[in-house]
Amino acid sequence: MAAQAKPAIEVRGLRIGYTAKGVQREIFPAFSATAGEAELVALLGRNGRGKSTLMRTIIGIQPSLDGSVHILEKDMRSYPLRTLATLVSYVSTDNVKVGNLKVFDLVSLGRYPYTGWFGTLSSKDKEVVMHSLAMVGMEAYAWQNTSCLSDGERQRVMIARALAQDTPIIVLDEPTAFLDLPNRYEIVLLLKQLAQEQRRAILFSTHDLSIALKIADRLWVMCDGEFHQGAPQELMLNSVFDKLLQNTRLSVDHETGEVRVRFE
Amino acid sequence: MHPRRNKRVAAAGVTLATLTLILLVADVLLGSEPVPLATAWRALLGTEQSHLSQIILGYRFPKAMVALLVGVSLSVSGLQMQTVFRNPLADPYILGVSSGAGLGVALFVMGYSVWGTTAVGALLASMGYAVSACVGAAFIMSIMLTISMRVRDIMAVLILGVMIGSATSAIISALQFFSRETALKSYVLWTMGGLGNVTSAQLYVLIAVTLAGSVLALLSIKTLNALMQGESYARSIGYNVGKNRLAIMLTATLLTGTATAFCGPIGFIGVAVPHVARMLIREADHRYLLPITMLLGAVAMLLCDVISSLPGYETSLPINTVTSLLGIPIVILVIVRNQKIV
Repeated sequence: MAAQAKPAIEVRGLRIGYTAKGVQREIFPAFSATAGEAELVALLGRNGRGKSTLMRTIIGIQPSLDGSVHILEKDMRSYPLRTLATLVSYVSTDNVKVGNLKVFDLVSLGRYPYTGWFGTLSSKDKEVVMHSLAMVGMEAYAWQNTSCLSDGERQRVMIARALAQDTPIIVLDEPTAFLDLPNRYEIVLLLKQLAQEQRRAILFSTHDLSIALKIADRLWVMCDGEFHQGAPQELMLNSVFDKLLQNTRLSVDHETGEVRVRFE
Repeated sequence: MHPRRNKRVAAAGVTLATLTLILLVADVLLGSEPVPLATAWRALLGTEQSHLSQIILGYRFPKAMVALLVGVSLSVSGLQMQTVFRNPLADPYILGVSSGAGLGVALFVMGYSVWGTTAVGALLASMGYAVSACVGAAFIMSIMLTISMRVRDIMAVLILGVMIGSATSAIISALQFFSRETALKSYVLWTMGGLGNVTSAQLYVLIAVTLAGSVLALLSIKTLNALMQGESYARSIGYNVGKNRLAIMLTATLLTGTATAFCGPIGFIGVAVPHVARMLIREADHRYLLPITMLLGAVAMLLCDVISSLPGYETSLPINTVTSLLGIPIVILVIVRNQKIV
């Protein structure tokens, strides 16, 4: 797989969870992981394992219990919020519905770390917005209302918003949820292309095991209290997916990477 | 780029500005005793000395100014609350913030001794009304903000807002029960509100606060756009959500608190005007939406005031009655349209 260049995201001994009333509630034990430049990394794990919490910790919305996240080889806590916004962009699972919001305006929110007091877009900003829309194949929709988009189109627009933010790192929380099968592949292929062509580090969480196995460069897998990372084949050889699918009637075919169902 | 959108918004802006002017004049001229335009003009210039000029200078003109200012204040704070709460039906009246202002005023009126009738005393008393209303409004606003951060369901937030508003009103009733007669009287007078009972000292405070609040709101346009998409997105583009949300809600509280302090609780302007503005220009960007909401707020409130004091009747309708009758259909329309979203 892609030769490990500079690590874009480096998770060091990170323990994620919440602190309520002075008591720490750990969601996942300490682990370390990396995501390199130009790498497409898929984060896998069953519901409730803490994928979203990890995502939120990596983008800095949620403090970690222990350990650190390094962004471009510096502890993310050492960056001012505005600087961090030029390094990491985020696409959440929130389905943002704002009436009358134009696709162009939504994407131009990605330019906010670069614009002045009133958020007026320079001609360069406008170019970046249109170019970002072009990259996801949505430039024809620039002046449509966001409320008229299909789920697949909306996901593309949200990715364009992250692209407009022009960050070396993009983090996406379940970008393939709610999409039909072709759209799931299309979105992940788009992410792969963006990672390769623009040398961005792209981390996305997903439940689509077979898509991740086929397309991602690296996987982060959150099993029951255990963390594994590596190239898909590597993890396959180490039977990581059997751990992931423990106590289910599913297994992964080690040859094809397809999910198999055992009927009792 | 998109050439037509600026034109459309500019056209709406010019139309609304013209309407504001026309309604301002109409509001001054019309009333239980209509005044001819020429007489009103001479009265404002100070060349007319009659009972008509007294009506114009002492009552109608200040009242029209108050309508304009309160319209702007309530609409701006309505829009700010809708964006920050991410709730299309958020508004100072519905979420109980106006009741909070009422509680502040009640505590002030029932607690304060007579301030005297000097100009300084009058100014202090109006400041007292404004400050206590703002403190009361801020109290409820902070409760609602805390709730909205924990409760995701926007309908649940609205119902809680209505409940807290009712609880606040109940506390006020209890206070009234235990208060002295003179204090009770001034409080009841306040609740009846109206745009016409504002003294000139209060008018100056209202002008200052509305100006300051509008400037602060205009300065927060970019932040409002950033917050439109919710907390995680705002943060990911470099916004400290907590700090910014607090700053915007302080502005909204100041605007609502002051307007409510002097005119009593006025409903449905704050919730309805931003929606009409959205329907009018079909934009969500606050760079367009906020200025149009301000102008439309002035127009709406002036229109309500004109309707409330149409000629031919000795007395005028309570302003809250008119704003409710005009505003509620719009709120219903929004609820029906939002059914898919909510």
